[in-house]
Amino acid sequence: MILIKSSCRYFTKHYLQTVLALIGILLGVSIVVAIDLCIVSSQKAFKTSLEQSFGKTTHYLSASGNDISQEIYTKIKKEKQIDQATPVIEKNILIKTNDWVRIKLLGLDPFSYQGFKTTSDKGLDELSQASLKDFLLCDNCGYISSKTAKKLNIQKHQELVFQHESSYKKIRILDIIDDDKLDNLILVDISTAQKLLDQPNTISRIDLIIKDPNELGELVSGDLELVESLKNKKSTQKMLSSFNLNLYSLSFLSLIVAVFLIYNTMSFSIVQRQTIFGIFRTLGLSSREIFGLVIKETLILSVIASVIGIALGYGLAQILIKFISQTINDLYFVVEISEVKLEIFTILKGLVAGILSALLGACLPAYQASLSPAIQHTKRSSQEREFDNYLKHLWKISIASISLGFIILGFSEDYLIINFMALALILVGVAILVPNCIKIISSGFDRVLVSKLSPINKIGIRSIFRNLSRTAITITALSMALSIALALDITVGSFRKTVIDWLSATLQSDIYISAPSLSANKTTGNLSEELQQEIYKNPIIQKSSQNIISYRNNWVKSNLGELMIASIDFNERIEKSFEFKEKSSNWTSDFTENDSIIISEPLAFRFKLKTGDSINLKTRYGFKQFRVAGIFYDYGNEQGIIMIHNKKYKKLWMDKKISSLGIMLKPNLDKDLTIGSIKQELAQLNTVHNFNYRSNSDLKQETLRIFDRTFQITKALKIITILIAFISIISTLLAMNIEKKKEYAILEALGTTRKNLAQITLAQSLSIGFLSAIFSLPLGLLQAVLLINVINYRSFGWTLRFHQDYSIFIQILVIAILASLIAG
Amino acid sequence: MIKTYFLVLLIFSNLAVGANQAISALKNSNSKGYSRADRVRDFKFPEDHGAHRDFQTEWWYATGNLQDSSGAEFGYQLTIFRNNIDPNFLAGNSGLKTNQIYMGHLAISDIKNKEFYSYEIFQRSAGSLAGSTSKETWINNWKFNWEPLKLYAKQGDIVLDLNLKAQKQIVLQGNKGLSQKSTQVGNASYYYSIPRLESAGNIQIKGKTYQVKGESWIDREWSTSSLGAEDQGWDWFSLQLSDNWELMYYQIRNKSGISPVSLGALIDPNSSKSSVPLEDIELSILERWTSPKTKISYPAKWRLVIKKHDIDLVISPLMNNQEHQFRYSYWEGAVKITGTHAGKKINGKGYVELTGYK
Repeated sequence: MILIKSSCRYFTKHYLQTVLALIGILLGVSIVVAIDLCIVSSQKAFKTSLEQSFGKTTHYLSASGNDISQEIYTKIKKEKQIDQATPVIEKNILIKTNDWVRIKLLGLDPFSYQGFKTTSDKGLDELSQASLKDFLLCDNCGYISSKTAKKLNIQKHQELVFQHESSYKKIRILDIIDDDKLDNLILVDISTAQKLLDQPNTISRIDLIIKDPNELGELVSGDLELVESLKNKKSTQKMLSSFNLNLYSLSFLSLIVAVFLIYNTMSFSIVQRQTIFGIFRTLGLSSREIFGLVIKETLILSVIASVIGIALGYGLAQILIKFISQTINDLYFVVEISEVKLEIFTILKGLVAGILSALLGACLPAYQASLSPAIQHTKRSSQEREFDNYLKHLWKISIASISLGFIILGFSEDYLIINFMALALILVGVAILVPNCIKIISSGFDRVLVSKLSPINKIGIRSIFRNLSRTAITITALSMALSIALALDITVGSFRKTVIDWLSATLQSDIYISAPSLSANKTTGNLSEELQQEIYKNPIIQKSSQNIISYRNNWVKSNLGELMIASIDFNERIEKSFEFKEKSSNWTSDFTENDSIIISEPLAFRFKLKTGDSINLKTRYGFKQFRVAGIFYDYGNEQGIIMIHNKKYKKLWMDKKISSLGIMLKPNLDKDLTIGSIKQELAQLNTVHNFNYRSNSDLKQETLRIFDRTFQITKALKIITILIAFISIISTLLAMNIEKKKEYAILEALGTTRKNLAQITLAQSLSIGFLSAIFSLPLGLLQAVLLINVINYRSFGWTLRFHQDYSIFIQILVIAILASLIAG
Repeated sequence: MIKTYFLVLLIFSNLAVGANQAISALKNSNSKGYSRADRVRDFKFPEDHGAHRDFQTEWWYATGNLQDSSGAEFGYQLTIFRNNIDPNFLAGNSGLKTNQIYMGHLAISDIKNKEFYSYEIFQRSAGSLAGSTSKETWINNWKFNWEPLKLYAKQGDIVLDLNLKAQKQIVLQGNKGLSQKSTQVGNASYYYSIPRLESAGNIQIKGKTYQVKGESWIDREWSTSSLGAEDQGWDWFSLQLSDNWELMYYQIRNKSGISPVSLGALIDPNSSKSSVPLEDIELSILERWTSPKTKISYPAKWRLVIKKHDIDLVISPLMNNQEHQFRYSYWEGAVKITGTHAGKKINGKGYVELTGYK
């Protein structure tokens, strides 16, 4: 009881320090919680969006975008006796409101769809309660969601005019259903869809729930392809998991900094209570009891801090989620994350992270408090001696940790999480080298710099070196935080520069026209033939273009699973637009004439492919072997992509569709003016057809805008990490000054003014800042190298060119000194 | 076999949910535009095995009791229902648009292992997905084949594959096949049965195949009729006695008891039928069973006495849980019979359907 009372008294008396310790933990916890909440919410939203498109579907049967005969469905039900199969018609139509709105017409079969329904499927339940008869028999009746009704400004029983291909038809709204899953689509019976779209005997695809793809046997032949939707989900989830892991690792890093901070606070609190602990020991308390006391204190503090941290994290998540969902939308798929909900599991994670990291930080101080015999507690110098002893051991631990980290990195290519752990080992290993390094440089520092300073400043700066047991930890924590900021800056900067260079090389056309796509970086839609005709025939485009390059993106089956293929019109300018990681000597002739393809770096990385290897692709004539003639850098698609010559693609896949067009202007035209007038023409066409068009510079800007938006979150995290480190400086200085009260009193008595004392503090804090900045440079560079060459490459398979902007170093120095100035 | 009538109408008119809504849907059903069973007609076979599309509802109903060589008992039910959801519908430019909607119920009762497997499917009669001719009636892979008589259905964990051979001639129920459902003219169905068929083939449960033999009962019925406002549900018995007699009995329950249109039919070994009016039948409930899932309490043992024909039977389910848990839950299952007929001890097997219980 006495022990607890004494603890309480200490912590309430030194409330400022208590508050700082609390802030350290709670900031760390809040980041962990915020990121976890964002990830959980985005995954939920992701699942919902997948369910909206696939439901419980495991596979679907389609003819790569073409309609299929409804007889296939009959065969599946009658001959193949598949229980769970449902026909689907899915087409985009244009609805006439004030403007033309693009919307999906979804034709389902309410009878066979039952088994595909998910528990959250409100739509069809409402449907079953409304009049099924009207839904089935009315020639043009459908349902829409209340949101869509609002968007289209339509009421129940009213009619909508829509355009499909070249004809205009009407859809009558049977009912409006309050179900978000039906947003942006009109739900009709499959037979109504056939009627409205003039396709009396065909459907778009057949959704299936099957265990064994062989159940369909010989039905899957010719045009028909069985696509695994579950596999799509898995691969999408896998790609999201790299992204999530990167976020987790950021939150983990901030937690590491928090551990240092807690160590700092707890060891100060112990130092300050040396006399009390000494008395307790002489009164007969065992070292175990003292250890227990410190641990208990930490527990209580950490629980309080964690609880506040969780609340703060919840608030923070509401802000972060906007960045994260934007990033997911930009990079992966369209998903609307409507809310962040506090999950029990996340609360537990936050608590555990807070308490564990606090205990980790408090372990050593508690051990110190308990170990030394009673009498020594009264001596400050004995602690420094002990710390000196530790430092000797720290070398070994540090070397061991770094070596272990590198060994793991060498062996664990495939497991990203292990890579991260290895990175953490290296980082911690290098970080705990810092105190020893300070010791080594202290004498040199003293000779070169300090000896030339005024006595007041000398006192300030030398106190840093003499109190290494305190200051070393602070400097380590601060340099860790700064190094993280530095590493992030270098990594993001390198990535950005690489992307800019790549864009400039790749984007050879002056204007790009593409089919609308749900995701910013994947275009697999088609430009309608009418639109193509109109573009080719347009007099202004004809007059000013030198070349119109067509691209077609599609998914093809291969021996490696489903892969994205892009066919491209090939000419000299296009040839130059590729930058190769490796290539065969005669790649251009192979690519144009022989059965060769080139593949992007992420694809090569995913399947460990090299130039000269082969891939089997399923063409219209069955599987055919293609040789890899080169591996090119590509940052547009992290799943990887195959490039094939348009001529070969058209022949082998009999696919004349076009996903996008690139217009190359004649060389001696006024570019801006011509682009302007072509854009005007395209705007005109866009009122009838739906497509995207951008000029080369628009596209570059747009890409960089998305890029910057993606990495905004790293900025937010950087700020918080620096904040934690900043608090750690304040708490160190505070503790040091409290400790040195007596000495200061003597100095004051000897005639030192308050101003001088402030100068001492300032000198201390500036030295901490300066030293931290110095140490953060190698630490940050090392991290950046590891992030770029190991983590990034192993996550995405992208080679990034290391790019460092020296201003970043100056920035870091300024941040460090500013932080220490404010703290001082 | 008025039973189906409820099921079909309500499920189709409103793919709806609970039994209450279902029955009220039946009561309000609109018969305008449909053909009606308002007079005695001549039955023609095999034509009448096929669909009568102008009538609102129709079904092909087979139930039976089977045994494998080790003596393990199984009950089965295969039913295909048809419903015309709009008599005024005109076919248009769509391969899948139709007013003829089919529904199927399939069940196997594995008595030894006390497992009940039941499935419900729907399909539109378009694109050959479901339909009916004088030779066959099908929905997806489920099939009634008339010549030769065969049943086949595969769904979920079970497969039913039986060859049937009629032991009795076709029996026209009610008045020469016109079965009155209420006193109102037209509120009737055309109804015939094949009350005993030798059955042999395979059933498969969770991949395990059993060679089975036994006896089945087939019912065919089509109508455009509706329930009275007072009606709550119905019980239907198809009983095959060991002395080669069969007894069919259905009763419609209403708020005041049993509806007077309830009727029995006794079929002798020569396939000749005598109607048994309600007043000659004494049916008492001996036990009840409550479904753990739906909490519905069903009668689960009966004594059926027809003094006039010297019949005294105790009917009990081969197992209690033979409840179809669909949108509209009902009990339909295999039963065994013990008792006396014409002074002699007899036994037998049969099927019972119970609907409208709460």
